Amino acid sequence: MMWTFAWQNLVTRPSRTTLAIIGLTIPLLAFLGLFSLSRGIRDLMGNTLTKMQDLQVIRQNSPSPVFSDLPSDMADKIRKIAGADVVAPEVWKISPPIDGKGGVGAMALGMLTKRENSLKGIANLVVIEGQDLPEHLKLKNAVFKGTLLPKEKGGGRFLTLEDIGKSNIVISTKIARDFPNADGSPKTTGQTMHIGGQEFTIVGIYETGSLLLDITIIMDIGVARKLLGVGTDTVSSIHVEPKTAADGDALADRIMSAIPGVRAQPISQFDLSIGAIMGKLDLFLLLAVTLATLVGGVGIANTMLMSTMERYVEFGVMRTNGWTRKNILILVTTESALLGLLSGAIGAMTASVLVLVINRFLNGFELDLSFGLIVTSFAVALMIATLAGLYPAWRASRMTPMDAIRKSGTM
Amino acid sequence: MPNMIEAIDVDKSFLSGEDTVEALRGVSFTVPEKTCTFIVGPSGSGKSTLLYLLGALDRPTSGTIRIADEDVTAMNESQQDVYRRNKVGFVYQSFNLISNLSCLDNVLLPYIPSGVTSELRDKAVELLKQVGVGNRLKHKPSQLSGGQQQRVAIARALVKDPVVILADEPTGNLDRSGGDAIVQLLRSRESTLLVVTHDRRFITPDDRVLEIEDGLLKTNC
Repeated sequence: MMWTFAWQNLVTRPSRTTLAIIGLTIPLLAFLGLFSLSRGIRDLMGNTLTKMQDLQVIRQNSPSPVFSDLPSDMADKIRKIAGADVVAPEVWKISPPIDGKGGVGAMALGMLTKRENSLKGIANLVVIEGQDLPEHLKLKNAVFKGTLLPKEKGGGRFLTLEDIGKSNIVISTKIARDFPNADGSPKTTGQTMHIGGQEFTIVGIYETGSLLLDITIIMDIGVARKLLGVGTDTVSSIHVEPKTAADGDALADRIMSAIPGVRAQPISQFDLSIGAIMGKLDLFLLLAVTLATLVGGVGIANTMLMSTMERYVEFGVMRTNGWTRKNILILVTTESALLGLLSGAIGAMTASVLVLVINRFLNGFELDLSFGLIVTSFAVALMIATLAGLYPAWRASRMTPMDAIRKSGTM
Repeated sequence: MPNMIEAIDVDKSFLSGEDTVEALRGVSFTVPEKTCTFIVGPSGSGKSTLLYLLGALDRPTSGTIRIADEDVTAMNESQQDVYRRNKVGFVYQSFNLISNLSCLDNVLLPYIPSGVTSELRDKAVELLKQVGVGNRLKHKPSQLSGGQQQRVAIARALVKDPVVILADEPTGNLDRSGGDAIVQLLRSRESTLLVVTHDRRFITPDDRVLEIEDGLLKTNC
């Protein structure tokens, strides 16, 4: 009955109740939206590389292997450095158009012409990795080979020494979907793709789960050189596997000491760096959202304070009918808690709908609104609203029946 | 007939700005149970103050008030809450119904915190029927006339089976016929009734009258 009474007190003041709910719902939406974004970015990165101790050597100051170039004979220099086990050169470049679509030019044109194409363009970017197969096949921690789909799911096989010089490729499930057959079905092993006007046969399909990696087409390094116009005197990066996993960081230091102008770092460092950045981003988001939520809480406190000040006579009538201070305290706190629950419910529903709608317009990246986030937002809303209602409730409960009589002039 | 109310040398003073106002001075009287007593006097004489003291809404500066053998002036706050919930029914000049609640829920107001049982709900419905608003159970106060609202307020006072009903100008906001009906309704109950009024036409020879002037009990008959 107390809940019903509290509910009636809210619905009979619709404007004030609505404004208070909006005041708390907006920061909750910000909370859910920003943390969905943060989770989405984490999902995008994946954690495939986290446990890898292997090193990647690229030109110093290059943001990624795609924009790096190193002399081919550097691989031999690295092999001579103590602790290096497998040294596998790679060629990385942005892919030419595939089946007549995509490519850098198409992506840039899309970004310039249509805003929605900018995200799709970036997400549809495909890169080619040419692997020095004799060396790469020695790697114990090969990312793509290790994430090949099972054969029964159409995973096919990874590249072998027999693929040297042949136009055989391994693609991701994402690429298979993004460049489908004429009937819309995803590409499968045994089918072909036209990359830069050349025909390639798909021999394997992998899925790392990281949308940063799942944009890679893997082929023999010699075939890649021809396709991408990279001379034999140049490679993009060199994958180095240390003899002992624990030696990774020390080996990186030795490589950078021995060969100036290069950067050698554990591949896992990429994930750790992203994780550190995301951690700081989450902290910043938490601070911003906490401030916004506190403002929402102040709005609830103001609403409840106004409401209780208007209802002094009503509280006086309740006290003359045997209501205790505690009863009044519970009533007002229940009202503010209900405001929190309503804000939480509306915020969760609105955020769910918005995330669904926004995700329809995103390709390759999704906001990730988890059940845990929704529950947390509910708890935050309930806690903030309840705390915000405590002071008005306490003030209302301190009032005596005679206070009400004096304020109203008569009862 | 045993006394229901006994007031002994009750003083009540309070500060108004820098001045001390003596609202009641040495007021003593008794009220037998199941009688109707009118408290009359000019505005500001202390009538309502006396009623608030009898209802444990306020405390006297000195003196003792005993109601149903309980010393109201010695009660702590929680005892006063219990007293107001169980022993005394209030009827106000301005009805003071809760606007958000239906007539039925207004009658059940004293029991909302502890929970409303079906027996209490049946009792409230019966009382509303008895006071003539049985067909307005789900109506909100704003949908009722002044007379009907006062009837609901009386039902709210009666639902506790109070030993004392305290009515402060219960006809003050009603027309003549409406006022007559309300006083008649209050008289029909078997509780001890105290009514503060300006309107002496309600007083019959069988009633007791406490006339207060300048805080002093002028007439007690």
